[in-house]
Amino acid sequence: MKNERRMSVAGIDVGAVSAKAVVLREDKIAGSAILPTGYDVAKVAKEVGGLALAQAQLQMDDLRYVVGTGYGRRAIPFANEVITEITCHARGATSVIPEARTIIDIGGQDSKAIRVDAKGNVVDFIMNDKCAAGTGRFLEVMSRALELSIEEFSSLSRMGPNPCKISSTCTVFAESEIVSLRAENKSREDIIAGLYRSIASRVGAMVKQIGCEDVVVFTGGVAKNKALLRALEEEIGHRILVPGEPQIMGALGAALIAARRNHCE
Amino acid sequence: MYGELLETCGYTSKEIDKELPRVKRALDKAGLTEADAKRAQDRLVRYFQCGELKGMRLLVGSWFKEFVDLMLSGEEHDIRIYCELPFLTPPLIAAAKLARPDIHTAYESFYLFFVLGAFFGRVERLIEAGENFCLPPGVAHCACNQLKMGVRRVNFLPRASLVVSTGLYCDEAPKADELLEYYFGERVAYINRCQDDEPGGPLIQERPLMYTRENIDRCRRTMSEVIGREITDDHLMQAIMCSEELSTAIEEITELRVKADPQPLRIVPYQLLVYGNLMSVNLDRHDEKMEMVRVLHGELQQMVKRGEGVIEKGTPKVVISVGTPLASPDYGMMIEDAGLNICCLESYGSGGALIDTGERRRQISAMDPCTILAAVYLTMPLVSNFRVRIECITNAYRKANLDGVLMIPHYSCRVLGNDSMMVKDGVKKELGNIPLLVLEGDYFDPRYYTAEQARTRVESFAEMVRSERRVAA
Repeated sequence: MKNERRMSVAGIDVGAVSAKAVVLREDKIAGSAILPTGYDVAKVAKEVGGLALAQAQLQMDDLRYVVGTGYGRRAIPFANEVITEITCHARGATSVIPEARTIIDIGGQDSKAIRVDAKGNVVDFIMNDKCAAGTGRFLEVMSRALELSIEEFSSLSRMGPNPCKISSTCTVFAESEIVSLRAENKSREDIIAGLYRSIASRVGAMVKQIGCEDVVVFTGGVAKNKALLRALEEEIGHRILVPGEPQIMGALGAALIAARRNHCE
Repeated sequence: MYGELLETCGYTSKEIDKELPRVKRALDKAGLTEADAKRAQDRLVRYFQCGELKGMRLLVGSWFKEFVDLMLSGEEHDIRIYCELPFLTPPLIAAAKLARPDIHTAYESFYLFFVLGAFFGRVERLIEAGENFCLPPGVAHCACNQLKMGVRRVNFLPRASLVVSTGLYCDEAPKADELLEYYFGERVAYINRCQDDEPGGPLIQERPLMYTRENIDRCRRTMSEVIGREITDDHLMQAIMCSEELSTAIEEITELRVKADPQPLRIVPYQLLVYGNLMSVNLDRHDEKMEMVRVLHGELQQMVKRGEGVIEKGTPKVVISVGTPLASPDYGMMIEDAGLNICCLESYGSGGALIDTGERRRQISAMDPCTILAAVYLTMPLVSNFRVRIECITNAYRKANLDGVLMIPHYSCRVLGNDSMMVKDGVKKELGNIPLLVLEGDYFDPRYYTAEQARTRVESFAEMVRSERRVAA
């Protein structure tokens, strides 16, 4: 047990919407956790790390190395190093699906397309972090406009046959468009289908810019949405794989980098 | 507080005693308080290395003096010639002042963007004044144009006797300058060019060269009429030679920056140096500027000798196209702190000097001064065409053995915004899959793009470049 503790490391990914933690023991996932980010980044990092450690039956002192990532990465007080989420998502996704060459990550407030080489190194990426359209937050706002919970919204996997045209690329204006569409008695399913198309077209354009290469992997919490997955596949013309727990890929990648640093020391 | 600011701007005690009343009057006219002066002093130390480098204090001082002169030009001069962005033939304006030394010549927008924007962090209100007046936000109006409308609308500056405008590069600027005539009755002289170069032909082509030359000569005649003195070929040649002398001196610092590791001079102060020459429309301080470059070069050489730098040794080196946002110095600093050494500008691939060495110099040495100005203008990478820009970036990348290319297109500029996507594709085609990052930015308006917004992308890019380096090793 003492030796195992020496080999324990963690990755903490504090995103704009949720904080994730992965604890690795001897390069295997020993614990993981997800919490809403909230206001206090340092506090949530500690809490989410604590939950993952509890699952792994370890304590903070047992960790040999911690890598922080995500928007809140620089506010994680116990991180030994900070790495961006782009590098971490690439590392996490390729550890689960080694054949991955293109990674799509849709997080709470940004979306990114990453191209990696056979060793999981990032060779190109693109990211939209100026506007919330095409992100998890976009879906949240739209579900509210449609009077659905995000869970209900996401579970509507059967899309309408006549997708509405949602022309706006701005979250706020898209919400107004939905109000207009509702006034025209368009069905929820058709509106949702239109929204998925809108996101798929936005994210698809980013993927095309970096050059889409098989195998394509979808990470981030939004990857659990099957209807969006299908819309994206249709848009980019490639089959897309989703890891078992897509939301923790950033934290996993951070933990894997931590493990490598620990081995090097 | 004003005295401390002037010390940071490299003024001697004697100069402070003499200039303080003028400086106070100028800052008062600009609506700047003692608190603003303190803020500017802090920013000059933080972003422009004025704490450690005397050469930088002298450089920011030369900009500050131009700003003070500009603010007081209504009291001190009867004739004022302003050139408006994008205007890139400063010797033409400098020649007017050689012909008649009592006039005031200014690159008005640039003085305001650098001094009021980058030094004081207070340029937004003038841009907003332009927006509220006649060039609303959200319709791709460049802040250059909004600013020049704003300063006139709120009577920030005295009216110009003549505004020199160019349609050589940007079509929106001369359209906006028509409004200067329409609303404020300012006379405007336009310099145009024809854009239809023979594709694949030589860099300097006869027809566009002669057309531009004629436009420059016509502008010279208009300026002569306004100032009531003839601007001769000798005046023009003298201005051109001063510009070349300064360019050549700056070029030595450029070479030093490209090779130095660790990097002793950050990109933000370096850009101020380069633009300081590009914007030289007043040769009264030419000797001061030459001395400033000499001092700065000497200090940087000493730092290199001692192995000192402001960016960590071994940091990946990149070329930037076209530059970091000028009115937001924190943006450039963030890029460097995130792990990139921006060791050269796109223009480095062209040789960088206003009059390039080699073949081009031989080609134009026999020309008359208006033709020289036309040739220089038409061969500047940014102005010529996107193929030349691709060539410059690839040359810089190869020549300086760089690790990547960083592009920050000026998004509210139709020319640069469009061009940059073509340039990006062209560079990738020439250099293969090298690390290349495109960031959004605005050179002049500090409101829309912040350093923090871009931080994750820059840090990711730096991580990617370091990883490629490891793979290559």
